Amino acid sequence: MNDVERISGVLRFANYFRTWPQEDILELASLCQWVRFDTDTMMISADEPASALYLIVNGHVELSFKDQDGKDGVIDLLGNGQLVGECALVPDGCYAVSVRTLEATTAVRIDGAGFADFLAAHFDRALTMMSAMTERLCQMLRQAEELKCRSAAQRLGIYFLADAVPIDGVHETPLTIEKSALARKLGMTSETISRALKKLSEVGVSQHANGHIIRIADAEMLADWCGLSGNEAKEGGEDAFKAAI
Amino acid sequence: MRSRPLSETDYDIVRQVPFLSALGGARLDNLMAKCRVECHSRGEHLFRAGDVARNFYVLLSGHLRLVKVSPQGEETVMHFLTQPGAFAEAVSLAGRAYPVECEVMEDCEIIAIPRDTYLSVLRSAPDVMAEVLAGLLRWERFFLEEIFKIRHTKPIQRIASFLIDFEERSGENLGGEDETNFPEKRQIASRIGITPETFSRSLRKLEATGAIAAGSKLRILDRAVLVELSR
Repeated sequence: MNDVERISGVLRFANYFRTWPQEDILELASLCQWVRFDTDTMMISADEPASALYLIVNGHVELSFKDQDGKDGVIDLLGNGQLVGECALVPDGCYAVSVRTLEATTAVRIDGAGFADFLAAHFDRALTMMSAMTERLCQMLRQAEELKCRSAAQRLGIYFLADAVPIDGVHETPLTIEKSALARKLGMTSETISRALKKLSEVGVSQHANGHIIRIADAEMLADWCGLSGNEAKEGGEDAFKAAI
Repeated sequence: MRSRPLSETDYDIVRQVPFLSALGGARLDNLMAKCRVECHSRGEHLFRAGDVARNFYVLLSGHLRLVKVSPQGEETVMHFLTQPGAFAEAVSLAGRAYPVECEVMEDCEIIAIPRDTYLSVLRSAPDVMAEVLAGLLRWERFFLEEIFKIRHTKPIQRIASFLIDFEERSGENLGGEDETNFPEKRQIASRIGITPETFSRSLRKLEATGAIAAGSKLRILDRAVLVELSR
């Protein structure tokens, strides 16, 4: 199997491209190459000319934003299947955020100019790309709303609910990232995370295996405590929970 | 709701919208010939959350607010639209439902552009797609700034920053004394994501610096101080 075939195998499972016909996936794959970054490496830097998009295949990266006064801060943490660098689709575009790896990360690099030409020649694919970008905007809208409306403990509770799996009558969530990275993802300090965990212990959330496993005694009660409506808790699903926080 | 044909001034505003002007003269004329200016009164809704986004809009004049309403009925103001320009194009062109309510705060004039009509014009001008994507990226930048501010700035900075931005966007700064008609305090608190109690405390601190007057009507007294406090 050559690189184009292997990359097309990855692309067809990404949310952005899963509805595309095989010939379009293969054409897109021909614009791509594998890239591997070590831990703590800057993948893209804000304000630099945007030449490529990156689809994260394996690993976690941190997005940070710099305001007009030059202050910067983390705004999100992304993992497998996420796309960064859409600014590369626009002529003379510059990256809006910096992206740094939190661990060794494998990604597919998509040439920006080539992809833009491809979209100009494939109107329906451009519409699906537009739809995927709009979904990201809607997630950011939900994130902004949640940041405004929910307490730190509620947001941490929702984060745990997103990955919770039922085990022996309770729910458990494996914590796959360091607490410091989790704190940055949720826009909190480590101290706030500790206070939030203490607060959550009052509603049946406990830590096990040195904090690598979070046990939820009653997921429904926790969802209610976090302010999720019945429909949100039942129909939200993992993606909606993650978008919320 | 009343409506009227587009004037040349309206056309000038439409031509300021990059993904519309990029269509070129004939295509844009063809598109606009199918549209009228709608006049809406304070309190009316242009759309509700969950409605299928069949139109996107160009705001010509007036003020709008975009609001999320929780299942419990609590409102969160997500954005005040006070400047001429396009909005709701992302959800509309993507064929989604509006994620927020759009309510008229001050009598407004808008152009509703049907999604299907725009897409059929766009299909004949694929080179314009880059401008459409650029439009979406402008909204992404808005949300990045929004999330950054909520996560990384203090309430007093957010209030100062909001007042400066709102004044600039409203374009109503008259002479030495500021005459900007700011939204109600509870709506500003909701917009920048702080509790009414924290908002009141922060306003008192801002007032003590001499930057604002926080009586029944908010007024900026010393813009330089306010800019400094926003940093």
